[in-house]
Amino acid sequence: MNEGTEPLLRREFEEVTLPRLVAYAGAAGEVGVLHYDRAAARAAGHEDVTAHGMYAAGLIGVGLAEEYGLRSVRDLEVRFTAVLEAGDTPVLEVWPGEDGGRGRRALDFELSAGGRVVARGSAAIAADGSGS
Amino acid sequence: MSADRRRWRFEVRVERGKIVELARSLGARDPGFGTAGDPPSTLVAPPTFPVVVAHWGVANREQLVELGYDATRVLHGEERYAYPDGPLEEGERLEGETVVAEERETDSRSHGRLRIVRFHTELRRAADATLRVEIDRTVMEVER
Repeated sequence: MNEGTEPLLRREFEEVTLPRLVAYAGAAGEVGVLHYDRAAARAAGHEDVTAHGMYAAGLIGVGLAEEYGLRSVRDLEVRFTAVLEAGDTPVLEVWPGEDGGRGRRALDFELSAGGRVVARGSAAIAADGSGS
Repeated sequence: MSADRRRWRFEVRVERGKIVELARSLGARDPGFGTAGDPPSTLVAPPTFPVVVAHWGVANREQLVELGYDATRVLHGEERYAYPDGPLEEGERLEGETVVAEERETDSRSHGRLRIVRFHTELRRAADATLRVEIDRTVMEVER
């Protein structure tokens, strides 16, 4: 998607760490063993503990809201394509989308880490960044 | 929470502490999320805030088990949020309903037989039933 075109936005998030994933698990109320137990994660074939899919989606949501307005996000659709792991440094890139609807601006995005896309999708934001 | 086998109802309050906790874990840095600077008296919830409904009786994993899925073999496929009038805010009282919107099976070269289920959730303002957010979550039970 959008290969070779300059993104509207590029934001690098802080490194994914075990403490950060544990904090997220508590916040979201979603405690799965692959997210906090390195031995279990490695036994399942991962290099390290893995992030929740919704952790990746959460980064995307925060990244868009902080760039385009905290009250601006109207629609957010995320497809998960790979797993984020501890040690990854996720990067959000955003491009213009096709049709956001009346009064809305369409955006396409990818969240990637270590050369692989972990999530991609689309969003619609209020064109004026407002809350209604 | 009330439940039949394919429909769950619950209540949610958008709490200040939970907004800050979730936003901080995601590395948010805007004062409006309560994680930096001089936060306002009413915080804005991050777009994926409805994940916290797990604390209000609707944990997706438990729903899957109720439906006969093996939660240890479930992958998250897609997630969609639609906010007709903007984000949730601190202090809102909401009534939620989650239903099984779709179940189907298909084959995948990498994962074998897939059982796909889509949950549809609506959160409405308790005071007047105004729709605040719709959420579609698609998960897949993989064969291998």
